Amino acid sequence: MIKKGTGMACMFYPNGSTGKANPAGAFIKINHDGTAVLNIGATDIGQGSNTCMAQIAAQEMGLKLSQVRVVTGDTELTPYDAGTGACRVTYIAGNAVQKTARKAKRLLLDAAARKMGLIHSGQLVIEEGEIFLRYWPAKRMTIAEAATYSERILGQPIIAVDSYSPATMPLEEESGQGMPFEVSIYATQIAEVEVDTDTGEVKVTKLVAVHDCGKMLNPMLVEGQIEGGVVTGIGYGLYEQIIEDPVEGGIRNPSLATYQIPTSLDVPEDMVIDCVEIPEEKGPYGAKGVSEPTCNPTAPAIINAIYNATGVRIRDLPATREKVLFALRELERKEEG
Amino acid sequence: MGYQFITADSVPHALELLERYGRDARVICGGTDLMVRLHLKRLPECVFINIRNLEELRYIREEDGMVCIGAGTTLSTLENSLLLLGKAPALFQAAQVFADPNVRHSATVGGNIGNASPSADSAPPLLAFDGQVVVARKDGRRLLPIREFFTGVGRTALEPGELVTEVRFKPNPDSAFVKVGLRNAMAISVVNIAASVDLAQDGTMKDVRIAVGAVAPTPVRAVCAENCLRGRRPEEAVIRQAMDAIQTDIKPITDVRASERYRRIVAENMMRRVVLKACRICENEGGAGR
Repeated sequence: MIKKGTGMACMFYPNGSTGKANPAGAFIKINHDGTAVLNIGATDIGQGSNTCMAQIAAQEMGLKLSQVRVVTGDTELTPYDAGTGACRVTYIAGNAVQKTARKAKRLLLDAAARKMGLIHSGQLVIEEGEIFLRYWPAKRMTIAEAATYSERILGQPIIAVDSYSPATMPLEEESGQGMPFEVSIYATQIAEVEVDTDTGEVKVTKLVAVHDCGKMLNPMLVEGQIEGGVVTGIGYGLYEQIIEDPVEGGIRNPSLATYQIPTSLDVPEDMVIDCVEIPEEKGPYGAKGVSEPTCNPTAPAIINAIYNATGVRIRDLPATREKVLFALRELERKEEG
Repeated sequence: MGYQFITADSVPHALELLERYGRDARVICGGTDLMVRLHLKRLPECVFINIRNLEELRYIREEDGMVCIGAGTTLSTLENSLLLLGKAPALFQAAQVFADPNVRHSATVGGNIGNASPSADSAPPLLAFDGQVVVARKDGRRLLPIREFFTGVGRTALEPGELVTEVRFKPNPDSAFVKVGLRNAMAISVVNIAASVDLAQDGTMKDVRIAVGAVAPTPVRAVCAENCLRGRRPEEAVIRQAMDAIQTDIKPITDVRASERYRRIVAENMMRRVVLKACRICENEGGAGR
């Protein structure tokens, strides 16, 4: 028999740990052809952070995205970064990139002001690769011209270095109280399942994931992160387990043939992904992280849905078909007895 | 000796090579089982006789009321065969849930039964149809009932020098297949089961054949369950009896995928499902064995 149920789970997840130094460094140079090179320690592991970091730099310096080249993933060339993990790249490396880009922009505008014969650069605006006076837009020059002037005439190549680390704030030793993270990420997910009471199979028929990651800097990347997280969460909730050999020791399923991860047929066709965009004032352009916690509410939502469908409460993951079937039998036995 | 790889350019050539290399020869076609074992270093040194290029072994046709399938026919050909869809849905459905599309494009019927895995998905339908295996050798050929083909885990009744060239069976549109694995694709069956039912006008099952895999050293016919059902209607009480009876037909073990207890419960539940599906009583129940 097929039993249907719905379950929900909410979460908050810490972002930007403050317990100890947690830095990200960035380096930017603007070339005399108007392009820029962004050098960052944060490594893109497939989530698209190179795109996102380039977006921040380009936005801040008034360049086109295509004019920013990102150098990363080589510790010999790039500044220090505490690592890609814990949702920290957009928030911490993003802040570092924004701070650095601001410095580069300042140098650029100062050079432009000198070239234009202005006393200071306060009224200058950069947009789409050009610098102009706010109240007299005809008075303009390209970023390439300003950078060349700075390099060749002022003898000041446009280079900027900065970093970001959340203000360190150790927890109170006695009580453990304090502020261990700068910001929090929030999410709610709802799963609809069908439980096959003859086999214990749990089919996730629909999954709704709504996240608050602050302002989305790149909605497609955010969507991809949430989708990936949800699939990981389904694996955590229903499939993935390391089976130890109690007699011989060792692991009995040390390959992807026996360690089961969800396939495309195990993922709900109906996945609704949305974001509540509440800008985080400490984040770059209001952004926070999104990645890791996307898989956190999935398994609990599924487990709640199984309970809603069948009355069976699974208390150790994953809820494999065997575990669910035995729990159903146990429940039947209790109800009859 | 190491591994050698020889490509046969015709069936007679393949048979000659098989005779020449005898016990050292290993027939390879889709390679979806052998290549995995080779990579895991679990394959003894051998001479691969490659029959992948033999178009003459790739066909599905009807002859005198029998469906004949060449041993080199891929599972993806089966899952796209209108002939099987209409006349042998059990085998059609087994092909649909077999591994994943990549594997189905390469894996073949002959390879799937020749590999003699207890969980081979094409075996229960062929057993439920009471099919035959056409076995060729250099000096002739023989017909082997599929019931006598599997002799143990990874073992068959094939003699050195012999090649499976065809499987054939009398098709039955009142047939069905159900598979339960640990997930819905790329899953080795924990229980797979096929049923073929001869229905009388009044809904009585004149004859019924049920075959189940992954619950014994070989895929097996569920003879005790069949006896409970034969000559009766697929009613609740009858099916309950057959569900109890199938426990004597099977001898599952506990392995890394599932426990003996799980296999026993699922085997009886899926027997009910596959019989009802074959009788077209409750199709599309969803869940396992879509």
